[in-house]
Amino acid sequence: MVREFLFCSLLLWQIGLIIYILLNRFYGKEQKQNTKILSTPKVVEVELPTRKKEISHVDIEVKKQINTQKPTTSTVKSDEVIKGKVKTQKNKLKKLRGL
Amino acid sequence: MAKGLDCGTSFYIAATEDTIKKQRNAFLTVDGEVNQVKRMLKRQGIPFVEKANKVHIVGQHAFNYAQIFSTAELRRPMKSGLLNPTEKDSLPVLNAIIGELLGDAKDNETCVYCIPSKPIDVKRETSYHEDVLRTIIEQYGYNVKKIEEAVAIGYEGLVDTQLTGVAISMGAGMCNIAVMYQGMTALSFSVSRGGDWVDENVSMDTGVSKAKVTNIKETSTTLDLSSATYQNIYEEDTDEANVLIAIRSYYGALINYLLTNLKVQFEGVENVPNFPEAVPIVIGGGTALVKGFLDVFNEQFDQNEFPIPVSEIVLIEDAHTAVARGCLSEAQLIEEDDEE
Repeated sequence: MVREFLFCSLLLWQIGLIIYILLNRFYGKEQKQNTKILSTPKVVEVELPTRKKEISHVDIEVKKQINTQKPTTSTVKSDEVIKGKVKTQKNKLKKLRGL
Repeated sequence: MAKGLDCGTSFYIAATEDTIKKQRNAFLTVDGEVNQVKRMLKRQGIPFVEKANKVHIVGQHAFNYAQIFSTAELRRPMKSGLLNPTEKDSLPVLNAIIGELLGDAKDNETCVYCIPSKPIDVKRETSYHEDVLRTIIEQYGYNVKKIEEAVAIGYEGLVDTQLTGVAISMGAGMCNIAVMYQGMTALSFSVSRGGDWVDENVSMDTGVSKAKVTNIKETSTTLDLSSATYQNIYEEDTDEANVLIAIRSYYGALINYLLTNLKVQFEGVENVPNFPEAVPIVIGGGTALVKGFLDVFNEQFDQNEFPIPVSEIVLIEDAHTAVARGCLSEAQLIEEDDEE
């Protein structure tokens, strides 16, 4: 009885071992490959746009609100008034500009 | 009718084809009940501006009061060539001065006003100053254009050399410089020292009030900076002589400062034209009016040190109004161009 039990037990162990070896042979590598893919993602090469010129700031025109404060009353008269033809270089300037 | 406006620290000067008007750019606030003060000033014919329950005496009268009453504080709408940021009551005063000098425009008249070049020795932008003046002038209905102060001097003094040379405007608040070649500005800048800087330093050295130093500088019949006269005054050893000697030395320092900075700026700028022939230096502005000014300038000028060959150093005829007349020429040409 004991001998039969040992024989059956040994047989079952042998069958189990053979199945393990066969399974390991056929699926063991794939499992390893799957593990690899999951742990090390592939590097994807993307062509980045090259910077053609340095980026500087952009200036904007500011429309200033200026309160020039007109006086309530003003009696200002010019300190000095010189009457007579005022001498300028307008004609020479005009000639130089080719106007 | 075209108009030119010189917006100076010490004087505002307007020029038209037949008139030149000058207004001292200073004011003095009068304490007291507003209506009573106004009545008193009206009776005495003293020009004033009223704004926000304050009455300000404006112009030469304010300057004269400050001479007589040493406690009276003369206030200045502008400082170092630009709007005075510490003077809160300046805008109504400037508005009144410009209104009086220009009057209301008729038929789309053009007004050219002067602006300072960018200062190299103070961190200030000129754009706010330019915008405020433009806005005020536009209020009176003008078609407004601007030119640099030194360029306006060039339009008066460099026309015989095809607008080629160095133009210097020596004002009260600052000195403006433009190096011009064939009408184009190769280099322009300003320094924030001028006649006021001379007055302040003379006042500190001699103990005479700044207003009195300014008055001596502008009205003294004995003030002559030429070297021969200077020696005679030195021997007199009087208080006035001390002031005059101090004025002379600070004029020398101012011109030296100007020429040294011009040299440094010239060396630091790329694409500065080479001047094959010697060019003139033309000078205008109120600070150059003092007798013997050119003597001091020539003493400080050293051709070996200066980056441009210089043919002559000339003080423009009627130097005080030269900027306003330069602006007027530009305004007249703009109007003629528009008519065509």
